[in-house]
Amino acid sequence: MNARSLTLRNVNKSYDGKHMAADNVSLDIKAGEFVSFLGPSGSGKTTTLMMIAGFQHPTSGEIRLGERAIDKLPPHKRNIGMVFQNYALFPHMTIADNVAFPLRMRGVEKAEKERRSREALAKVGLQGFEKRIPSELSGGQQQRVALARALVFEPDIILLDEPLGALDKALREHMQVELKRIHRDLGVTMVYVTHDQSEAMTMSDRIAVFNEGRIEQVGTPNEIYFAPKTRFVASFIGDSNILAASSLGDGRYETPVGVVDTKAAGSDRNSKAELLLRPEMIRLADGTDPSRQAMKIDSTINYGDNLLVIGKLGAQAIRMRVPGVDARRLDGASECHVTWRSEDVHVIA
Amino acid sequence: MNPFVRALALLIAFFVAAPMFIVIPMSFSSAASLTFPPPGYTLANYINFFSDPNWTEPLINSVIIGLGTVLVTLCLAIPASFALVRHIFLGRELFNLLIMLPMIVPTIVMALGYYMYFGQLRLVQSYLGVILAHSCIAMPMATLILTAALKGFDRSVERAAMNLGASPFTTFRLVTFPILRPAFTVAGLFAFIASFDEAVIALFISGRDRATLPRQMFNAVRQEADPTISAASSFLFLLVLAGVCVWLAPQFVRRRSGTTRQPLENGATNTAAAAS
Repeated sequence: MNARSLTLRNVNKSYDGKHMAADNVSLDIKAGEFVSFLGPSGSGKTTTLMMIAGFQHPTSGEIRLGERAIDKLPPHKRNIGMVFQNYALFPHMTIADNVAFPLRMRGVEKAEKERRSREALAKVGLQGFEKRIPSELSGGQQQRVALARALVFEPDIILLDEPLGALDKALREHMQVELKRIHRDLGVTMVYVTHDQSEAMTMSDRIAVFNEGRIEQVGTPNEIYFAPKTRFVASFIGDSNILAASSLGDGRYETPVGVVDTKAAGSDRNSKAELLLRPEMIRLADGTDPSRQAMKIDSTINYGDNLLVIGKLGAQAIRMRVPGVDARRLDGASECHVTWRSEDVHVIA
Repeated sequence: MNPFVRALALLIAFFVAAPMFIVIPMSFSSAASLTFPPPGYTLANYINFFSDPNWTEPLINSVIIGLGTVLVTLCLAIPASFALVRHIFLGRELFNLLIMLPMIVPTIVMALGYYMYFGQLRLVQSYLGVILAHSCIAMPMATLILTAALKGFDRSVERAAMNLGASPFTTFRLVTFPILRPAFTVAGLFAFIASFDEAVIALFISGRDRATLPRQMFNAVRQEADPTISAASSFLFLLVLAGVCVWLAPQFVRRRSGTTRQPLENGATNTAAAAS
């Protein structure tokens, strides 16, 4: 399948002339890449996707698909495949006619049309469903038909708008694996909109985190998780402890829990910063560890495989995740000793 | 259910249906005037209804005017409904109110208005005049049916069609129209029925040349108590009943088949896109 790159250059969108639904969005998506747009509702991720698809028009800026500027084209001339949140299958057509629809629009000859529709349905594991109508299929099956319909005409790029949002948890995980497999097999460029951070983490080559119409950060799942560039990214993705800090130079910071060492490059003395310490980076320390600190336990939530401990280090509220096997040591305890490695502490710029 | 409530319900149902219990047997009556109960039974009234030009001509007039009303009503109500549901424009509320007005204004007031206004336009005693007047009567119901269907229409299927390469016109032809066709059909059917059993306006403006069936029935009962009128009434009733059944039947069938064909895996959610 022909994969193309997608470039957004200073794309702005405002519905009322005051509030920016998309605020200076710039992004380069490589051919064959799987990129997620992650953010809360109203963050501009769906608006941006709609502008790529052509259902919204940018107030200013440029959108290029490969070498082709597409921001002035109507939706039906863009050659983009899209999977909608509610599937948007044609209820009055059979599954075969649904999947063949884009080929019919392109005047593909009958035998070829049937062959390619059959192949597309096979790719999503729905052979033998050709004669059914959409309402006879379950949600997961309908979503796979929508996917087959979006890839049958070999579009330059496939857009997915929260496609798994309406499915239950088990089916959603199954479809995540399916989607990744199809992405790998076809090598097509995919843009995936979601507000579910774990979905974005597990599936994406890169994640673009949206907030209030802007892209806060673009990076691999690990960069986003371990090295967020803004406080919003740090708190939106995963569970977090964020410590207000002022620099003492040489990567040392004064914080409410005392002086914290980091591996960050030197910064100006007394400059303000925030430190990110993920709950699973804080570990139980044995009584002899010189770096240990006493943590007061307020409450615990047992997940079985891990225990979330909510408590205080001095005056600072702290959340800590203890692996289930170690958690039994905390039974009934009101205090424990904790420590962390300085290389785990991330300085938010 | 409480036996008293059940009896009351039956009584009300009987009261509502009573005229039909009289008119239908009477249509088979052998008496030469309108009498109940009938002294004997015959098909003479029906034979007369379908052969006497005094009855067949109004029947044909009613069908022509009814079909004309369907055409005019749909041509106006479909664009109006799309505008009302999909666009925000200055005076939308007022526009909606104007369309609904014939439902509120007494028919006789409108009839009088048409009588005087169409007289000047020389539209009295013409098909066109009656069709235009009946279309006004049919507009509110047709618009209500169409706007309800459009509000329930999931526009993402239109977006999907465009995304897959269909131009806006092709999208309407292959997606929007077929999905909304049941609503169009029902709106048309209601327009036909509204015209077909309308008497007041027909009395005022259809004249002798373009007399509709209800007008002829009114004349017949006033002038000569022709028993054919009972056959005409029964026919009118059965036609309207058939129309309503045509409307209800597909819904009934769909509901029945919906319970017998279950989706194959859990987590089923149907596309709520089907109109009506």
